[in-house]
Amino acid sequence: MISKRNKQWIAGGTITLLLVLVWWVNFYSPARAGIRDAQEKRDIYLGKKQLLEKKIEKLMEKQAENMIHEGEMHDFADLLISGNNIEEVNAVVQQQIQNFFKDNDILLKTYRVLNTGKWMDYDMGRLQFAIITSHRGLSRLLKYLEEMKQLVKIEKLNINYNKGREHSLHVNFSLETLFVNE
Amino acid sequence: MKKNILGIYIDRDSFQYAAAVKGISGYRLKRPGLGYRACGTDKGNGYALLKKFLKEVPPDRSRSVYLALPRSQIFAREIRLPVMPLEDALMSVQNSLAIYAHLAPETIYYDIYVARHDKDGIHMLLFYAAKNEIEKINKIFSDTGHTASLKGILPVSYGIFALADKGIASPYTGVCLHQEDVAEFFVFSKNGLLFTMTAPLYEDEKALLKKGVVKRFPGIDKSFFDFNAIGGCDISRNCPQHFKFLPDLQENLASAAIAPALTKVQPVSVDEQPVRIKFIHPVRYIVPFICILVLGLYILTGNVEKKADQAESEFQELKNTVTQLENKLAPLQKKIDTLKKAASFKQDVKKIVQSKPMMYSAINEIARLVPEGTWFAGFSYHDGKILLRGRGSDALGTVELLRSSDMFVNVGLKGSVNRSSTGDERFSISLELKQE
Repeated sequence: MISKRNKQWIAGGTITLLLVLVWWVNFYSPARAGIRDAQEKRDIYLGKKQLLEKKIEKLMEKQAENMIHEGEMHDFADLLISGNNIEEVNAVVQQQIQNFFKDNDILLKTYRVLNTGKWMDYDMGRLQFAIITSHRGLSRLLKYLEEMKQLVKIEKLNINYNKGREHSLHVNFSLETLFVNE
Repeated sequence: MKKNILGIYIDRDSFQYAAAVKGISGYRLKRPGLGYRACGTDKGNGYALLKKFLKEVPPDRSRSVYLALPRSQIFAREIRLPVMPLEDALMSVQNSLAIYAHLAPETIYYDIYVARHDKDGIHMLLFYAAKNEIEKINKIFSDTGHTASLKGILPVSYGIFALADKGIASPYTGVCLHQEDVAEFFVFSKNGLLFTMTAPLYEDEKALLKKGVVKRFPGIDKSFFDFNAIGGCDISRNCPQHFKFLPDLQENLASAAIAPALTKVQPVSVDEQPVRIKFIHPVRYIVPFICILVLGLYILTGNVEKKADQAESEFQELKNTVTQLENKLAPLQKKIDTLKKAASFKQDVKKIVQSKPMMYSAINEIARLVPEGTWFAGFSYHDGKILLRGRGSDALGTVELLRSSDMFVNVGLKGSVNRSSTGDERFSISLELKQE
């Protein structure tokens, strides 16, 4: 028969064991797991951090290599006809050319907007004009187009001479204007 | 351990005392009061001398007084019980006091000494004394103001056992001690005090008792001390080092009164106090142990949680840093892409500028080169190629002149040349603008 004292020892031992077990299961083990989890995540993020730092360092080097001066960017901006889309660009060019016609006594017969063209990966606005003019008018027009700073170029040009008239030149020409989205 | 101890032995014919205090280097003898040496003996009625002594020595609450009495005042019974819990054994003895003691239970003070408690059973000694005798002593202490100091009343043989307990190596040690008009035979071993019995002071009675003792404890005759024989007892000489300060037992039995207080033997005192057996109560150990365990686990949990918080905080900090870096990376990447695009656009712009046809210059060049009288009625340009429809005196000459220009390449006549009746030639010339 187990004595009262031994029963107390057994009860004490059992309580101690249970206490430690409950503590282990409910507090210690989850806390240790939490620490391990946090450490693992920290290690992953440490790796990420190092990778990002290296990447940023490389990008900074690349940035230095590809650096374009602000002046150059302004020059590019000057070369482009401003407009949010190709229709706006066409309208601006058309307006400029028509203004030129007015100022230089060039008779505009017809004009129309052609389908959008492509040059390399860029969209090109296309406009076609039919005018009647004199030699002087033609000369001024071509000079104007040649000296035009913006990226507007002659795509096609047809000149027919009608003898004996004041405005003896029938000119058909189409223009291409570079459009850059950004 | 007590700091200030006074041991006293009294019997019918003598009074002996020894006082000790605990110092830095251990116990040493110290005078109990003015007019008294640290230890001393006196002949005469022990009770009267005790009263005189206690009157003259001022009471001191820090002092512990132990009083040793002869076996004529304290009786002993040996009790053997089968294996059982100590509490049950104690209860059994207490319930059977009327059987074990020769005096009525209500007229005695008693204490029980456990000599052995193992798988062979329980071996105990019941010490008891007549209440009225002990009360006489208590009254002396009470009258002199020393009641609070009296810590124990014990048989002198028990004190001798306590003094010699660790000092003698033999399996059994036997001692014969004369006290008043009896001779006490007591035996002890490393297990404790095993046996005590008194006999009248007659030699044949003593011899008979000794014979019985020798028969019961084989080999004890080699380690048997006759305390009262001259030079017959070397207990004091063989006692442990920490008892060396005490006076020799043969001169002063007060040393025996002090000894139990300085050792770990079970305290024994025949007084109104309950039995002093030390029971191991598991609850007394388990409860504090569990409390300490809970405290320890609480602290450990706190530490672990602190570590977990620290690890989580480190992780969050790192996560924030990574997010910041990612936020920094995205615009940087966009900027690099823009820069790359800009660099590519720069090249493209150069190409488009180069591909821009210089019509004004080209027509002026043609006008400059062609000979007098040559004129063109049609001009068409497409995709870098120019077609001229003209009239002039020398088509081939015109071609040659145009070929001389750096602006043109692949200059040639296109189709047939028609000569008119006037001699002029109608022709078409194709040419290409030279790409830079």
